[in-house]
Amino acid sequence: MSPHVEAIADEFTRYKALAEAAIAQLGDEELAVTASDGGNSIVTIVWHLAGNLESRFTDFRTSDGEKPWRDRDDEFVLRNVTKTALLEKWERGWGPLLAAVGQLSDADLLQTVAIRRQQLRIDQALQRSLAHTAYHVGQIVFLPSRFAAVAGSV
Amino acid sequence: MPSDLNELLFLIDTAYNRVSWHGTNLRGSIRGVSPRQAAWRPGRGRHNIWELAVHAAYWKYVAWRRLTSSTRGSFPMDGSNWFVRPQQITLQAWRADVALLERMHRTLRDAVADLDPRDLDRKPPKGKTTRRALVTGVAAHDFYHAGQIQLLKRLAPR
Repeated sequence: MSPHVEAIADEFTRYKALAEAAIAQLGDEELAVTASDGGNSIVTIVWHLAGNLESRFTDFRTSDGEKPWRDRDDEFVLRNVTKTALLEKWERGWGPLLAAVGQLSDADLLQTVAIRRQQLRIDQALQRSLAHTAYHVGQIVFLPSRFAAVAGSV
Repeated sequence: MPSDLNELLFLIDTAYNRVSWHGTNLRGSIRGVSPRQAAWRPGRGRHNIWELAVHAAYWKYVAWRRLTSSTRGSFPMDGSNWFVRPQQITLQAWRADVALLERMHRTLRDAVADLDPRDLDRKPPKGKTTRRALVTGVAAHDFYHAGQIQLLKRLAPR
């Protein structure tokens, strides 16, 4: 892998692993728990992040990153799912990302892709996606510690 | 300035304090946070906003050390990675640690601006990753903790 692409790809896989380690600590019943003020559950964050990644990186070089089939509002609908179903959704988002990044060379990074009809250089599109991913993975990693704290206070 | 360096500076700035497309960056996440909010923990032994801010400052310092291979300067607290904060819940103490974060960001930023673009895809002496990977990682780290701070702000009693 070319060094510039590798620098970005390594960060993506690092944050993927961090989220998966956090999810592994949880039982099915904890996945849909929200904070008392109605903040997002891990299910919601995973649905949103996976939906975003699947849309952005399916046919990454040849179609707009905001796909007509993506239903962003639906990503935030409350749902109860098993961990198996959660991880299937998770991988549906990460699969297209890892496949797309795996095909890139550094020379490709100056080419452009469209996201919501805006032309972006590929390196910029990747960095935006990495920022969004790291932000939400931070929340996925944080939430299990919140559950542990609540359980410990009972 | 060569465009590669401009891109890296843009990257760490949007992660820290420059308007970013995706929402709140690290500096934005702690703006307006009171010392009491910053000190609130979601549970015993869990990190608070204050500790996340100092932790982010520490990793900017580590990145600076690695980028510059500097033997000068040190982080102004004993220990590494995580630091128990606050020592005192005062506005003065909180501002001092926010100022530390600010200073570490500016120091790192200056080091990135001084890099030779030809070295970006090379590892610094004793480094395990390239300079580009190091800077990319610091930016992602800021976003990662900004997401957590946003969550802590929602959870903390007002």
